[in-house]
Amino acid sequence: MLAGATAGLAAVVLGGCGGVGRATHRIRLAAATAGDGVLLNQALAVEQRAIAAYTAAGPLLPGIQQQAARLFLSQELQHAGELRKLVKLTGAKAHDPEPRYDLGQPHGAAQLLELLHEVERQQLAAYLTVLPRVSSPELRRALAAIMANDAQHVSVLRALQGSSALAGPFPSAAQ
Amino acid sequence: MSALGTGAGGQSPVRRQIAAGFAAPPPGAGDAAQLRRLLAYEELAIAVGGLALTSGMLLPATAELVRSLQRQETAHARALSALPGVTPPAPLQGRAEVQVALSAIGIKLALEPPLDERHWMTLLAELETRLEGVYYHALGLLGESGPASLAASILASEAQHSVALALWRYPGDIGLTVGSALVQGAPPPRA
Repeated sequence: MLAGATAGLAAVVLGGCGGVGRATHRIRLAAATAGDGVLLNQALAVEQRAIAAYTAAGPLLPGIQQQAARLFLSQELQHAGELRKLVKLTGAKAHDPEPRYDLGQPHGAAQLLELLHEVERQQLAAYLTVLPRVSSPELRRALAAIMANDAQHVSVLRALQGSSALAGPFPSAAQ
Repeated sequence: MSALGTGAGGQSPVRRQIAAGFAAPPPGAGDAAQLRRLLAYEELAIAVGGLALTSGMLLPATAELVRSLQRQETAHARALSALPGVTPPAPLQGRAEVQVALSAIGIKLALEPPLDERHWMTLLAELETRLEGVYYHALGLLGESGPASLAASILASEAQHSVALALWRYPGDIGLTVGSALVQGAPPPRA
């Protein structure tokens, strides 16, 4: 079984909060609600699963696929860092990564890529659910910037799997 | 003098009208004004794609990519047009008006003499970056969650367009294909 063992990953995620984000959001969240914290934590939990998946699968991939996985892992860490900051701004406690993630039993590069593709699709689904429900335009914009990057990951993974980088005009969990 | 010509008094009415469609709405203008601006950007992307496709400079595979992008931009424009209060801008007529519109959003690349394939793809990539920027900007201002969700979804689509164009321009270089963890694009002009 491929499992994302993340007992030590929390520290990595926290490290992502610091200086790695070139672009960060300056957000005033005076009007943020407790519900925002819950919603942001939902997105954070999905990002943390993606981090576990890239951490576990990336080293098993060859060549340019591994290069992509390494880059995407670093970007997922930045997403998690951004979300943790936003959760804290709402006054809530940020969700910690699970100690272990069941990632199935992928064999070979094709199945590993499909795993990563599925993880990215789950992220798109999560953002499309959470984004309309947060309370402020600033939060929606912050989430949209992250979701758009995850949509880019989907495009590259599609291309690496031999499909067109472009799916539909409105990214969704079906891409 | 053409309708686009600049007279002694400054910009022609057509130039001013085109530029106004891309200008930032005044503070408090409301969601419809933000959405009309987004629609103007989409219409420009469609127009530029059309010029590229009729230029005769694109190889078949490249033309197919541009047609795919155009289909998606058209879907975005239709979705925006369907929202209440969003009236479409007057269609851009020909290369000269497209040039004015590109200048209005800060793209200085001259469309004359005719561009070769790589220049068209570079222009389209630059345009996608501007689209990302204007959507990102609008998302901080849209008050209603419905239009904001649509804008967020289209921002993600434009970001995917950037990937498709980067894969064409920099094959094999993933770092240039997905450069930033937060897609914010290029900031739109203020006025």
